[in-house]
Amino acid sequence: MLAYHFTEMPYPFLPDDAEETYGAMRVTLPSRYCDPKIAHDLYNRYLDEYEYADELGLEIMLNEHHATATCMAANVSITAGTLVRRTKRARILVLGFPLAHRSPIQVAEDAAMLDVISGGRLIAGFVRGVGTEIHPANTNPSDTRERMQEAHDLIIKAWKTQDVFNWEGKHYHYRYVNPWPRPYQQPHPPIWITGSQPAAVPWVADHHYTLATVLTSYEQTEALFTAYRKRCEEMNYPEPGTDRFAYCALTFTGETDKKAEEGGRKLLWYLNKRRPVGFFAPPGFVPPQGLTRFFDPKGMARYNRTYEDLIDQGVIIAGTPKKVIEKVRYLHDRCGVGHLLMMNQAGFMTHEETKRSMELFATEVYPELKTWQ
Amino acid sequence: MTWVSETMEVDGVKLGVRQHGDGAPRVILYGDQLDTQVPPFDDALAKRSRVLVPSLPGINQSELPDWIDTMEDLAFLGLDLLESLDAGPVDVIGHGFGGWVAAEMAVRAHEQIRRLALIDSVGIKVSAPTVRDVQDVYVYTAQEVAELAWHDPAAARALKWPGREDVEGEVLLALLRNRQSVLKFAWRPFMYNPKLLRRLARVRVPTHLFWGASDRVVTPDYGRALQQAIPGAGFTAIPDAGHYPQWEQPKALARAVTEFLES
Repeated sequence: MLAYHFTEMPYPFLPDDAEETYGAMRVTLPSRYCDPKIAHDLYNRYLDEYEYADELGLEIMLNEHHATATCMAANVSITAGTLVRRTKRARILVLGFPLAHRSPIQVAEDAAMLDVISGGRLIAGFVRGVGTEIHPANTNPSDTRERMQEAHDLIIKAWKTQDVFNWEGKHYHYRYVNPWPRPYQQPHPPIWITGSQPAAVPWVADHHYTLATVLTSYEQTEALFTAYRKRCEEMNYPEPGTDRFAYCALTFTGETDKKAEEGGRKLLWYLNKRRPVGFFAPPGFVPPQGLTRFFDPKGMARYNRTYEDLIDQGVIIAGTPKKVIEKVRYLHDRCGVGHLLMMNQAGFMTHEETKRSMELFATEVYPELKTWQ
Repeated sequence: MTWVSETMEVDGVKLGVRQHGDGAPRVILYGDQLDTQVPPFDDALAKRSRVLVPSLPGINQSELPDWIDTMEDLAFLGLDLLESLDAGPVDVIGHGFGGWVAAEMAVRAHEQIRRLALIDSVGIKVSAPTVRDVQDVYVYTAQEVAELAWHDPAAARALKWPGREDVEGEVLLALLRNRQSVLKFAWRPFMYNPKLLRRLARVRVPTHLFWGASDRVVTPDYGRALQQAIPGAGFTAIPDAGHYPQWEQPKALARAVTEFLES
């Protein structure tokens, strides 16, 4: 099993009333609340933590979001660009390139550059982007899946063809597709896809890509991964190994139960941020059947989860090294997970706390996890 | 007598349509509203002629095939629908998004339309880039929408709206599907076609605009800009009405629209 360090690079130092006044941390929170001097310190601190992950033997996961204080990583290629030169061995998982919002040629170029500079350490994750990305990008929510798939087809073709070709599709039009360089890993870096809807899983299985879940419960994750394995069985594909399944949780390893719980509770910051329904669930982003719960006060109840609920569901994995091993073992055995994506930092968790948790994990948990197939 | 709902097929697309009344057909185009909620304005109109209210593709019972994905597709489908009635030029009444579709039809062909009535319609951009001419009603809460879209926010309860506690189950599902279908055509640019303002000079049929005086979703000033773009168009403000005069002041609206159509 492989473990990845991850932070969304939050900017938590906001006036108490900012969220209340603007209704959300995303989309409408004015950037005047961002002090660039504080942001400078924060970026460099988070990047130091990524470099520390490399030293500790952990892998690295990066993402991006837009118009939000929860995630200052506004361009995943820039974050990755700073790290490919400053890290030596870690795999750099970009999860992901937001295909529904970006030129596919730009993605093909960015990913190939990162892969070539790092000497083949890139894992290229492709994501559709969450609902709150729709307004900052102002792309039509109703055809994001369609655009993502066409962009995917075009990028893979560009990497495999290694020659100039013409692409006049439904959403993308290029008469001379020829991105330079081509990737270091041939024909292209490993591809990962995030998923939360069972309907989207067969496509991932059909391409033999790694399926990653982000902050889903054990139950949801098991259902998604079972759907993947079932598809492989139906289609007579070779049985997928655990390396096809990745699970992202909020994680904290502490010396004592008390310290672990304190750390775990600090991570709650990320989940407690308000998400107004109009931005979180723009019409067409998910089918109407999947939207109704957002407009139904009863349906929203599942978002009011306690710390204990989140621990039980596996959304937060916090504990002493021994407990973390037990919890991850449970996850591994129940869901067949081969990659643990660890959101080790959120909100006000300090540099020292983050490093200490990473260290404890790397020295007392990870050696055991690495022996699991 | 009540409204009869049936299916008609235009260009191979099955469209839900409700109709009522006798005489020369008049067509009303609405946006994402539920077909099961009949505005009292429709009833008033149906006393004087045959009224057909087709749901646009993806709205209510109407299909939305993959090949329909632009406003232009809706405009041509709308014109073909009028032609299929085989009744000569037909009066067309459009509200909101439906008014935009009606305007796009009118700039493309004159012979199928007898008279054009636009009620609190969208479709054009008139202000500076930093000004939202059309309010972002899909982001606002039901209460915020009630305050923007109605002269009397308490009256907003007449119209089902997602996010209200009395809107759930199949009704909520239908409203969300309708909303999604409208936005497929209207997301970017939001609720307008940059080409339409200039093209409106091509409208040859007698046109009149009716506008809720208290509409803050698309203001009467926006309506005036639309009026000025259409040669010879008239304008009537409906007092004590917001974005939905067909609900808030149905009698006054019906009187004004009938007067225009029958003058």
